Amino acid sequence: MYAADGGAYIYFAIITSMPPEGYNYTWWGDWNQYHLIPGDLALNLDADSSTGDCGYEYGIKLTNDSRTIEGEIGDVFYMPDWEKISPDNISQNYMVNFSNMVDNSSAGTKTGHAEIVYTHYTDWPEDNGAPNYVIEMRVPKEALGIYGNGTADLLATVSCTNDALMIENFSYTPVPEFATIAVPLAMTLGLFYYYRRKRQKREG
Amino acid sequence: MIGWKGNMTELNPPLSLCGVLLSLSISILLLAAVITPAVAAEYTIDGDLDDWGVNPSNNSWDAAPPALSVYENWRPVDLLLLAQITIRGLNSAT
Repeated sequence: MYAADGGAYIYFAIITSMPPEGYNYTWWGDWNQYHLIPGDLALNLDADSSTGDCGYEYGIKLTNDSRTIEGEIGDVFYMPDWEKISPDNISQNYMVNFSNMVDNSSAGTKTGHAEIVYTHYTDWPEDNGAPNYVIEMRVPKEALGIYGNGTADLLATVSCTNDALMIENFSYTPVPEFATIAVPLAMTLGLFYYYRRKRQKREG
Repeated sequence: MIGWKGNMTELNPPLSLCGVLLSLSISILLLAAVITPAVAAEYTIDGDLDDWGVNPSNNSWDAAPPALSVYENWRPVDLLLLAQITIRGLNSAT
């Protein structure tokens, strides 16, 4: 998993063997078939594990599965409810106890939308015989309520949660405002104009 | 008076030039400090991570700074569970 701060956006990329549509898995314990799906990207932006369900107050939707919160892939939600979608019996080695945002009338407010590509990863087509996919996204800081400096913890997993990746202490900066760029620029132009006039007066 | 004025004319242009250059330098530094984070990272959302500096076929798994990278071998679920069940089966058999 990769993360980068880029002005008005935060960029994420994830390489995974989970296909966007999910994966039918027959568990050897009961011979039932379970549909595993990508987990949603969880973000703890306030470095406070007590805010938000499971400590993650923002989430980015990465699946269209009907068991998860209603919306489109790429939708950003604030204060969603997190749940582990796949049953525990197929997750004997799970690393976290939640995977996806779920519908709950009292939780989960959509705050924006991230541009997302979730596609077969041509640079590394397969691993251990399973095809690889890449999820690349550009998330507006506005959708994540970022108006200052801070650090974030990010968590990516799959619905069975047997695998999870975490980036801790990712530093982000606020979006540069127009005034902070315009003032130095105006100063430069003003000084240039001032000295030019002064020189013209002297020469005149 | 004319001589004095003449001296000022000779002295002022270099002083003005210094002022302009100094002001420009400070302003450019200020601008750079503000704009640098904004243009430090920009990636095309196309599913190709070459612009991150990531290309596993060249054994490049780390993204170029300042991007952060975390990775491990995500294993296919069935292989992982198969291994666990095999180990559990062996344990119960012994």
